[in-house]
Amino acid sequence: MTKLSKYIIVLIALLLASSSYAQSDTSAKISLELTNASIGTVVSKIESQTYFHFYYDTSSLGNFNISYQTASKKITTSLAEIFTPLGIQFYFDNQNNIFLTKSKLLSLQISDNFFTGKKQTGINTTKDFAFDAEELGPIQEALVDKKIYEIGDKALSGTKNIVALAGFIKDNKTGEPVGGASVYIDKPRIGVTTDQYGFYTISLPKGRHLLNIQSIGMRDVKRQIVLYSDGNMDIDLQGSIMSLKRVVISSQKISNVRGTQMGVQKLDIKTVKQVPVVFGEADILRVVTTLPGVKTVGEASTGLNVRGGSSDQNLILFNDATIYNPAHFFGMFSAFNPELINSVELYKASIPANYGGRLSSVLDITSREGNKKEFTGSAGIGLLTSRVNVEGPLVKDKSSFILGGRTTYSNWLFNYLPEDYKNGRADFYDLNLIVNHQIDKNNTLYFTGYISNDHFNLNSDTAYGYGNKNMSVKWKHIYTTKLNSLITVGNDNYNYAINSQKLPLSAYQLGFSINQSYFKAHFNYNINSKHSIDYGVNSIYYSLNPGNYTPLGEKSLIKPDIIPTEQAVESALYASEHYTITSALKLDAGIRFSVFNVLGAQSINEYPAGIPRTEENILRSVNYASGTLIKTYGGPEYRLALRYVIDETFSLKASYNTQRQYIHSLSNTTAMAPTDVWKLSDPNIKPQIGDQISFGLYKNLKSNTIETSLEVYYKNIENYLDYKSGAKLVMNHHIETDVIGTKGKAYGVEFLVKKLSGKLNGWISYTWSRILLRMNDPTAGEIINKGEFYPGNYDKPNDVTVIANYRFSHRFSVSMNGNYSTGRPITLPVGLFSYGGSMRTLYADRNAYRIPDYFRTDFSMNIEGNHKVNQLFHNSWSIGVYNLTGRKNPYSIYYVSENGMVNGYKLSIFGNAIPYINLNIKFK
Amino acid sequence: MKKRIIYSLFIFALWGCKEKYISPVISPSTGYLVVEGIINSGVGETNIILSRTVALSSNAINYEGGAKINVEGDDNSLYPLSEISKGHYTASKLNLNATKKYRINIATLDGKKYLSDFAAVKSNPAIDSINYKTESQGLQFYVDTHDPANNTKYYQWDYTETWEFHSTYLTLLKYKIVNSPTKGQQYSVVFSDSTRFSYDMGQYICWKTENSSSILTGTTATMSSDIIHLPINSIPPASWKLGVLYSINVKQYSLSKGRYEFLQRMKKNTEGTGSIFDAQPSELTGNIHCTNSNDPVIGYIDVCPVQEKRIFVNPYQVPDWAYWLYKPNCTEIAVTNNSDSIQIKSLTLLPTNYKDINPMTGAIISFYAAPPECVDCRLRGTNIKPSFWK
Repeated sequence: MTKLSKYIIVLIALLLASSSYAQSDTSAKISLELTNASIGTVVSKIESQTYFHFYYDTSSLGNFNISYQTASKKITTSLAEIFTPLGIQFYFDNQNNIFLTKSKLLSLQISDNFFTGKKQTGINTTKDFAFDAEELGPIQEALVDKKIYEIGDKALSGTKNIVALAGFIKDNKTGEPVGGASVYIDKPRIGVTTDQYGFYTISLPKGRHLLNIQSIGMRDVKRQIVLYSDGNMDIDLQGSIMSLKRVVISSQKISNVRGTQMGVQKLDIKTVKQVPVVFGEADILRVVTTLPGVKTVGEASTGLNVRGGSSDQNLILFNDATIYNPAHFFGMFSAFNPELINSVELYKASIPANYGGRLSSVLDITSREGNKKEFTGSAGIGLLTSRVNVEGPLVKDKSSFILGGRTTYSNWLFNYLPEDYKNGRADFYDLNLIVNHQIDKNNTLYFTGYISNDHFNLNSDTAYGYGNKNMSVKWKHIYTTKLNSLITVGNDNYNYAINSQKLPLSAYQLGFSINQSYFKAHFNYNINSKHSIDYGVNSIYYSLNPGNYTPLGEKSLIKPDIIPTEQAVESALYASEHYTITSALKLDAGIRFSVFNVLGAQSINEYPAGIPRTEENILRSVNYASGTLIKTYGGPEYRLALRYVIDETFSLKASYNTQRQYIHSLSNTTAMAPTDVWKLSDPNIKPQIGDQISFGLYKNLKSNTIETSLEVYYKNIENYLDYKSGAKLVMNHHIETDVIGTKGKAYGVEFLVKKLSGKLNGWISYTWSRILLRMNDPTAGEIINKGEFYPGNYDKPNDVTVIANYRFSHRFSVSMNGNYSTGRPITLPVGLFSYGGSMRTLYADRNAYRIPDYFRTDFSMNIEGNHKVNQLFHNSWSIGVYNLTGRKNPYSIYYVSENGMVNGYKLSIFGNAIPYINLNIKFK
Repeated sequence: MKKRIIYSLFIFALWGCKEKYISPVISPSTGYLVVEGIINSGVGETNIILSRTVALSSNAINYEGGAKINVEGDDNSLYPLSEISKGHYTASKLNLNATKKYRINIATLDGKKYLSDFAAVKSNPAIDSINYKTESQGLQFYVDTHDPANNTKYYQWDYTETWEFHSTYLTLLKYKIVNSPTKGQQYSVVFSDSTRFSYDMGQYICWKTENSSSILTGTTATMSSDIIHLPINSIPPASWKLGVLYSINVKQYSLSKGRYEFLQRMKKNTEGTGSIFDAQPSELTGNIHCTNSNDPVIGYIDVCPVQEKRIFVNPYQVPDWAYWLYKPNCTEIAVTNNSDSIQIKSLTLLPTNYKDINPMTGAIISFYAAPPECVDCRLRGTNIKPSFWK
């Protein structure tokens, strides 16, 4: 090796480095224990602890036996201590590279106009900056991008010491906003994260700062700024995927430790796509169920049970639109097109005050924005479904659209089924259109349209159909750098229909629908670096059609039966304050005052107090005229979260929150069925009220690459609706006689270890939790299980999930997941009797037994085509096996009287290993 | 072909997943009283069956004998039932007053007393017709009823099927066993009848009777007029039921809403299970209560006149009925008529007809034999002709 080759290496490194403003973080700490080690050993030890990569030439450096010991010392200090005595110089560039050389000190810095060749104006270049020069020693000059951004007007030298900086963070390749990016300075530690539109606003002291911007999947960016007054700065980030053959991760991605929120899980779509799922359809809801505290009753159900809540206690939002039925294909797939999703956030404990109306959780799904620079698309072909997405600019750099659709061709499936299912049919589609337009710097409009539709007919003459229709328009307006608002109007619709035509005399159609129109105004006011407040108002107008039972065909004698529509308005005012008390102690305190007005026209049954509500006990039925106020419920909901940082990687959090829910789904099936009816609270059905207290420990290990957390919670639920024995829930004009309000309590411990970077990544979660219900009020009618606490349908105390991905190269990775949980409770017969010519089962206590435990492992391989940037098509394959061990996990156990005898059966949805293959094509 | 394999694999994976399950739970011996039946206010019999609930592993009916049962009217009238076999109690021609209310009073041997709630006599329109139609699943029988007064609304049916069937082979012969002091048992085949050529019709023509085993209910509560046309039973293609002559007798009961819901709940719990979206099983409570303890009772007693209708169908009346598809697994083999051959080849078979006969002595030299169920119809039914048979 000659000097020449060394210079070539350095030059190449420089060329690569120049493509980004990224900045090496020399504050990373290392621990070493070396005895008579070679330079190679030293280098590999440091590389294994940090993200730095060494470039050096052994022949020119010579051989050394190095003995050195240190624990958690800054890398710069350690390097100086090791290499300076040996006469070796070391240099950092801004791409996490370290160069070792024996020659004279090189300046690795390049001026801003080195590559562009033109001189930039308005930006000062200077040599000193806010780093500890003494510690960095002679290599200081190699550290930071030299550009200094001057923000604000020098002339405006008001009295304010704290000024606000705001702007959008975008992906420089596609122009899409980067949500959830953290923007912060280190001294003093002040940080914020961008919202889903990539917008941030941060209050900083005047003067010079080093602004850090970090986001998963993006290269880290540091900007030197000098703040004179309030101002704007938009920053483009560069994707890190195609960059170099190493993964760039930062040692400071510690938002789980630093944030105040607890019980929050965020997944980006890349993580979701790695997890193997049945038939290879990347499925957001399935992946959400692998998180701690989230359960589902079985494989044919995407209904989520979060911390002991029922599936109707989750607010599922897709760009602010409420999705009432998030499932396709009777629960096998979720109704969200993975190609359009940007991220999924699940709030289990500290639910922000701007969300409300459901007891258990908020699942906030946000879509991507279309590519603002060029037209691209993607297509996927799977065994059961195919999808196509197209996106591109409408006005370049200003507005873009993204249009995606999925459909199934699963009808062939039924032709291969046993005779019983031959006439079965199932099909679905979903369509998304997302448009955004930036009117000017301070105004942006977003439009979301979503339609999904399902039809199926299994083995009977009854056909089912259901669909969601959602539409929303959002306007983001920035008043000042400190105040911005988000106004949303929209309409959500969910409906289902059942029809049966086999017997012409009794051919019928049954329809159900919910329609809601809403208005939301949300304001964010950033007072100063210690205080920021969110406030706003929400209002939803519900119009619920509980059932239309109508004849089908001319011969039908079915008497039309229409349950009058229910109307109500749910409104809420909220405010929450984010208060940084000290740098270690932070408080989020919010209050939401919700009001629910039941409106006419409706007729409400009145019952005498103190005796069970039955049809016979109806005192009278009162008719209310259209628009009259029938009943008002309401009350405050508190949202408190407290965080105390013990050190950089360790924090404690506590939260308390209360919730009210005014709309309920009524079901006596275990799984969330597409035919479940929803019911608004009325004078006879009280709102559900829940409160939860939780406590958590958060610790990051190995330079923050491993996140661990432990959360404990206890929850009370009031007026949780359970059904009476033999309840009739569909087409019931007095549904209050068939349901009972129960009290529930849920508690548990959740443990999570997560590593989201590196070749091996994934998470392990373990949950121990219970949900117990109790109905012991004799005046309500029926006492369940003698008034004792009984387990809820989805009470599965032990639950372990392991998700592991190993990336062999950028083009090949394998994923494996495993899930074990206690079997869910089930009501098993306690005896038999003879009636109607057959032996029949006798049931007693509800949910007194359990089905056998659940265990499943899946495996998948993801093979990417080549990564040439400029080719027209990029292909990728995913091949995998669902339920690798082929274990017949019981979905249910049931007993049925057949030909006079009682037989018990164990039903498994997926009784074998299921191989699958999926092809994804990206084009532009 | 490759595609097919993938598909099949997939479907097998998806649906090949129902297995027998035997509960590891040891169920308690509950022994609750089960009261089945309805008070027939008309001229027919009132039949009440008493039994006890049994453990899950048992599957045998535990009839309750020795009880005293009375039908009581709110006018203090009393109609006792008598036990005709263990657990079966009956009374005939009650001819109850349609304006009164009635209940049932049970006293069991263990000293417990049970009472049902008083129930009004419900009118029950006559069955208009029992008719049938060939459908993909076979011959489908329907019941048609209407109530001009539009107030019956809730119905229950049960039915009894009876069919005549014939053995595949007629038989002339029978085994004769002689105990020889030297050779042990000696087998031979002889004519059943001394008149030699008369077939044993008692083994050839039989009848089989079966009761319905599922709960059949119907309602017109959601319809504009009280007209019923509901499937009650079907005969699968090629079934032996419709080989010669088939008859179905349908009994119709009118129900109170309470009994209808009780039966619906029982049906959901015990017949309507097994789908992905099953409703959860629920406890059954009827209108019978134990008056001197808290023991649960299963049963719901109503009062109505019972309506009945019977029809007959033969395979030639049914258009396109593929009765020839019914192929019992019957073949004959020839056997030499000596004890050794019989013992080796035909002890598990029954003789049908002779093959060779000695023209001089009339002795059977060899004969045909077939599996017993192909020869003796009594193995599958009875050769006593039902009284109502055409």
